[in-house]
Amino acid sequence: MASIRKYKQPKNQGPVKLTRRELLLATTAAALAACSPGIPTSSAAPSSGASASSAPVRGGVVRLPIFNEPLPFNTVLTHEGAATTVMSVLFSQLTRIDPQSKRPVADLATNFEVSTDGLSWVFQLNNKAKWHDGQAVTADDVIFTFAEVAKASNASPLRGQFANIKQVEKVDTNTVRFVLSAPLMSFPVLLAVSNSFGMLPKHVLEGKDLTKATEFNNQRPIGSGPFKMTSVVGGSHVELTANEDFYRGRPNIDSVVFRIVPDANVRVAQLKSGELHWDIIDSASMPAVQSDRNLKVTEIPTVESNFFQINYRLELFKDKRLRQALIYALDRQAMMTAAAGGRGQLMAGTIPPAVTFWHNADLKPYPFDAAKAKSLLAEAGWTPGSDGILTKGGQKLSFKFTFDSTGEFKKQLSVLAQQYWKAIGVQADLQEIDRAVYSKELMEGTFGVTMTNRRTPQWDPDVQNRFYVTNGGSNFGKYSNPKVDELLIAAAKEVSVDKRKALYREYDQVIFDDAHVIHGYFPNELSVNNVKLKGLPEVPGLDKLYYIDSWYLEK
Amino acid sequence: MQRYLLMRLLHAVFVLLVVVTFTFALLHLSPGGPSVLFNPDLSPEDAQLLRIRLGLDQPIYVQYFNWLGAAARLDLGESFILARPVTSLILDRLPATMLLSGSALLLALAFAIPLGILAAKYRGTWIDYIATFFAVAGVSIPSFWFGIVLILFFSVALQVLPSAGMLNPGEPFSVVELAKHLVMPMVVLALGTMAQLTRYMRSSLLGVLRQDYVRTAHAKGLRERVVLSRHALRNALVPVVTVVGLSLPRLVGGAVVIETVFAWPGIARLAVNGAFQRDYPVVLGVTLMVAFVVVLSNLVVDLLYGYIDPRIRLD
Repeated sequence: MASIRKYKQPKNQGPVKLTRRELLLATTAAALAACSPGIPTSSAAPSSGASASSAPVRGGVVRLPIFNEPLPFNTVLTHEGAATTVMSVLFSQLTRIDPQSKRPVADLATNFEVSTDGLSWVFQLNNKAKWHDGQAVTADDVIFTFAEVAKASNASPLRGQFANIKQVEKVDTNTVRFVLSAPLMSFPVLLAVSNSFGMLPKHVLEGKDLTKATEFNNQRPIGSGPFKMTSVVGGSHVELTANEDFYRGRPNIDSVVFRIVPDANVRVAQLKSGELHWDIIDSASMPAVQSDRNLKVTEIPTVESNFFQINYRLELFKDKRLRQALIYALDRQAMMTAAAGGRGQLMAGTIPPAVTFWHNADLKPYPFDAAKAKSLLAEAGWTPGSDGILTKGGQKLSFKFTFDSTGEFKKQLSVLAQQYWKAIGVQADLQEIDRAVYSKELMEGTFGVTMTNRRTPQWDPDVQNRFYVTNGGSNFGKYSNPKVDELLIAAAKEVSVDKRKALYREYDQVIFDDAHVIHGYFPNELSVNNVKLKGLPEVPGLDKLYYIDSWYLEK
Repeated sequence: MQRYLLMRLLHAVFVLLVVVTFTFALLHLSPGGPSVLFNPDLSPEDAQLLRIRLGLDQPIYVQYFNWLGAAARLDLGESFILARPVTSLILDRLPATMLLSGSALLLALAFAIPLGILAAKYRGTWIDYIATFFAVAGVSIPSFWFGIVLILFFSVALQVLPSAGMLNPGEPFSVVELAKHLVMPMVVLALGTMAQLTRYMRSSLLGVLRQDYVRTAHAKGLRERVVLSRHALRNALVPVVTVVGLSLPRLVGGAVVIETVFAWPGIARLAVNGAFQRDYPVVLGVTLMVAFVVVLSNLVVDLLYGYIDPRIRLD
């Protein structure tokens, strides 16, 4: 048995505070913004920092939007957006992401340790944790949950992600050990970000077919999170009330209502009328909220990325010079300005800047250089045809280029890219397709180049394995580079954080030089909240909900 | 009459069968597939397990007959995404849609019939022009735009009406609250139908007013009001009732946009989400339900003819 050592986890610092550097940056940015009418002042001041000034108040109802019906309330069965949103306050996960360090910290577990060989992970559960029906949360519940994930008949979307678990053992009532078949240093991150992977109560669900537990899944879920389910009104809303026995203490807010509001314009109107307390808006809605004194906008770097994915099954794209030329041809700064009001950072490596610990800031984005793009293509043997489109051996330089119709920015970016490529003699046959077709083409590998908005939570760079290792589960373009394979596989298993960091830096450099995709940018989100709502941590998207017990409503 | 009803019911079953068969075929012919299967986190083996769980591993004709057999027993299957029986999803939302469409229709009728009569009676005067203006505007204004404008005015600026939903979450049921939530979506949904009905009412009444029996009524020395209400209006209503019957499916279907804008918890939105996610059981279930409502409402309209115009006999 390998010896156990303490996993270096950053301290959970409770209410989020600003470092001196962040404070300085925020003040400078605010001062600059005041001089420049184009930049919202509010976006510069981090919301969490501002909240630290007043003491939390108890009480109030917070109303949050969801876009769709949030069913089923079962962490093992679904990964749909609306359901995971509600589940993130209803159930509790073993770990969560620290807003400042962006590293995993304990949640339902009070601490966790890993063996020196990276194969054995021990989690100590919080002994104050109780299910919403008053029963204690124990190691048996954790074992039960993972057994349900592994059960083939449940067809859980989490099954593949946790296929590496060989065994889950009970050490004592409050301690559980995971034995992995291969070292996986991203394990605590995986537990924190797997689409709100909250634990399920064994005493309620044992012996039942999870897929048929209709009452639990649709009406009366029992979790151990900060809020309990009060009512589910089909097509309209769900309401939850504060869990008095929550292990970190009762939440400040009395209740949370998730309202189904599918239309983005209406959500903005509801923010303005005070019917909603928080939402993420697109940059087109910025003018409507910017002038509203009751609303506060915070610009937060995300773990999302926008880029154009390449299908390596097509012979055309095997030439690196062509891939690089397609990047050089794009004025990405202009594209980002058109699609997102310039809010974001141009892509260089694969790890977003929001993932501060792992991001490689030394990589400099490919510049916009149409002349260089043309010379690379000429070097690769492409010559202009009579219609201005490049040809080689009688073959035109053209490919199918798709985007799905679920966001105006995708259309804007794709249309602009098509124009920039046309300017260097490349013909991209642009098609708008619906989401179901997009997903099918992606998974069956029948696309050419496709606009991709990747939202996979990637607080640990290990997630890159899925996308870029030769046989990675989400490597839809069939990218294959032996050096990338070697580095990513080694990094996932490496126990030393410093060595892992070095491996990922090298990987990012290799994949950057190889122009593995047509680079885009990492967008920032515009998080808008009612000024009365305080205590929101500065983490992107719905990760804020993992800290909902610290939110409060100012009277 | 009984024979007529029996024939109509048999006809209705046939129509429903054709509708669901076409919907089933279209769903399977349309590109893409159920979004639950195209989840990048699923391995091919897990996707296959899910396919088996959802019954999608069977040949299409087997899936079709399985669904049909279950539907005959009123079991419309379970949503792929929401893991909930489609029947209960529909029953949850049907009252909301019926309330919205029903009240919108009543509102449309309440305005369209008097407005149409006035426009016909005062043909070529400013009253007619105003009625025509409203009709053209009503048909031309896009409902999503009008909905947002109303929200901005009444919910954001004046803060007198709630912008969305059907009731205030967490509060006990109250008719006043329900009415407050209903007013904006009802007006937006009614607008198009109101405009169309006004025009039909006007032209139908103008046609009737030119008839000999109307002239006779005038010649008998009957007062204008009596001529209009007793002799002209009833005859003019027959084509209008037909249009009302035909506009019912449009009211339910047109509710898609309005249910989305006003977050109204009805079946139209359920169907749209189902279609986007290729949630076959939901789309089939809602289509069947809407088709049933349409067939039923057409039957009611046909029965109404006999009541309005006793010369029409149903056999």
